Amino acid sequence: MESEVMKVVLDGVILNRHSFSLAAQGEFSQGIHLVSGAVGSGKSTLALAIAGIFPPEQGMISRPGIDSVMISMQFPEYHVTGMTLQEECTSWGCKPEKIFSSPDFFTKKHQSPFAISRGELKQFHLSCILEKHYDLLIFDEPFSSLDCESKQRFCQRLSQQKKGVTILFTHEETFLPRIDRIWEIINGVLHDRGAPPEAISQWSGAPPHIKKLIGQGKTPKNISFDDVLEAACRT
Amino acid sequence: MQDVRIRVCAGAILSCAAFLNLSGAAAALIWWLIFSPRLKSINQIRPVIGLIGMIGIIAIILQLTGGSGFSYFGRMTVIILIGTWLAAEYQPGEFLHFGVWLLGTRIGFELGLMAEMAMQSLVTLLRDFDHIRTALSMKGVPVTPITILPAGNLLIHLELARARDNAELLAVRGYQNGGTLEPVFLPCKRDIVAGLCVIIVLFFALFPFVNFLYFDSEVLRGLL
Amino acid sequence: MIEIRDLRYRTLHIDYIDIPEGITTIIGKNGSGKTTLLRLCAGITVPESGTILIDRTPPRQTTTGWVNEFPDRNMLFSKVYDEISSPLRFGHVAPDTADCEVRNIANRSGISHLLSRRVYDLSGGEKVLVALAAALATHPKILILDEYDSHLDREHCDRIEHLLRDSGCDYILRCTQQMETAAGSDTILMFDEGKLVHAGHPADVFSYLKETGYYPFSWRVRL
Repeated sequence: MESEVMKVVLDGVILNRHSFSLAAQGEFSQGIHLVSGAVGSGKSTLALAIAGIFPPEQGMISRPGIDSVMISMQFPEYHVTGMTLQEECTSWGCKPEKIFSSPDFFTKKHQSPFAISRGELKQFHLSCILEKHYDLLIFDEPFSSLDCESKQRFCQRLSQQKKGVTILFTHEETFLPRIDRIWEIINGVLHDRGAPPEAISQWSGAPPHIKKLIGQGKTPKNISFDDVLEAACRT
Repeated sequence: MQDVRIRVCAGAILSCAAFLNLSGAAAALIWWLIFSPRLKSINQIRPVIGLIGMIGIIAIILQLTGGSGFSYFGRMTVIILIGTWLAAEYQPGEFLHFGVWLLGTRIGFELGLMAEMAMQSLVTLLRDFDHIRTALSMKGVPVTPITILPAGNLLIHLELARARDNAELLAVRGYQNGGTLEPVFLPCKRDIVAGLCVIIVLFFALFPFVNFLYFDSEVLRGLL
Repeated sequence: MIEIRDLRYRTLHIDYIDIPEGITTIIGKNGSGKTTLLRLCAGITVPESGTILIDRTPPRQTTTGWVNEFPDRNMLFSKVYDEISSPLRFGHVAPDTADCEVRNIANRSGISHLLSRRVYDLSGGEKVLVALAAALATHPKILILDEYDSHLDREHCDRIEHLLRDSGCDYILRCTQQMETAAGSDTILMFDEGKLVHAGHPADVFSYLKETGYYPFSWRVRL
């Protein structure tokens, strides 16, 4: 029997909060999706709604073929349930040997999650999340608090995600993974810009350096660091 | 009730009246029914029901052991309702204004500051608890009394960390002792009417007490 | 000049550095000591040994503005007006003067319309603007910002950049992971494992970092 195709379907979804109202309609199919939007446009709320944490005020969000869901929230403290990094690792269902074999965390097993820097805590929890497979993986500002090298490593790991639906909500401009679809929130509406490279020209929230390249007739094939660099180096 | 001065005094008097005796509690309840948004003032019904349930258990024990359980239950329930009304009417910043008006820019400001930060802590405590519950649910950990205990540990840790952050912020912003503020209040006619009605509630609470004193003194004279 | 001599605090180790007036950006890996240095310069933490002097004055005797990375950690009060006016109130500034200053800084920050709002109802970017307004309310000598831009979009980052340039502060110390932002500074300090590895003008510091992710993309492709 064929397994159901994994996707997230937003059908007439309306999200209302004190400072914004967001209308969302569309399908997130298998692959990596990028959702951009200004601060306060409702990205985090949409992320939580897609994860099933908050129901929408109107409309429906369905997840056919999806058995497991995980959301990485913007602030790593919100995920902490253990008193040490080792307890925290176990709470994610990860094998401590795998996580603590990394030089970044090798000596920190028994430290409190709040004793390490914010960026280190973020790196730690992203490592735990990426250690397991989830049919639907949502990242709300995964790059915030990460240093440049960690951002690059995260992009590399994300690019290795072969199955499932991955949705990235982010403001990041420089270090991005290769993505399959671009979405953006403008004036309270979620717009599907399509797949790169065509979607990149339609993307009004594109980073300034990508917009400059488009202006020079050098539209990148995708939005990853290497793709943008390749486009910039074209003659 | 817009004016925090009238509200705090009303809350204090109503609570005392409700505590004194059942007639005071009944009068306070009628006041609450007339002047508060009633059930709308109960932001989160479950903790209130929980509290009333707890009081109910104590009341039953009291009644069974020869005390006035029903009176206790009635009076305490009204006090809780007055408390929920006070909490629902709270507007950010007003404790600072109230403190300075009452006790000046040194002690009053500091007490008002403490009260404001306490209210902030309560809000953030509830938010942190929600975040922890979400994190537990995302990790597939069922929320049970056993799994919630480490969460309690974590909440304490988060509150202590926040207290440290606040202390640093106060220091960096130059806080040493007291502060300047011109208290501003916006009373309206309804506040004044409600405030006057609190006096009537107090009368109902004191009247049986006065009666008791009179009766008691009559008995005493008789005995003597 | 900010003079740092023989500074030791946990893993942070700085023998000698003079930081001139202007905007200084601190960059480096997570856990390299950036926030620690900022907290020492703000007087929040005291060195285990060594000294930090800001124009010959210790940090705790210098008027300082501070903005934490996490927007929610910058808030003492529930209302925006109370938050921005707090350093003025703590400083026993007369209420009328304080009110003028609050409205002035709110206007310059573009957040006058938020003064009566609750802080928790604001977006992340608005919270950073409020925190910055509170930090600037007393016209501090030194303004310290700890990765304030990590949760912000380009529009808010640009707005804050203008605000910083017009702030009138003698020293602005910030840390960021946005190299495009760092490229616009007067001085860059790069840390690794608690040690200062590079210091100087952006052109000098970034010349050592061409093969790393710390090199600004726009410089890489000369856009």
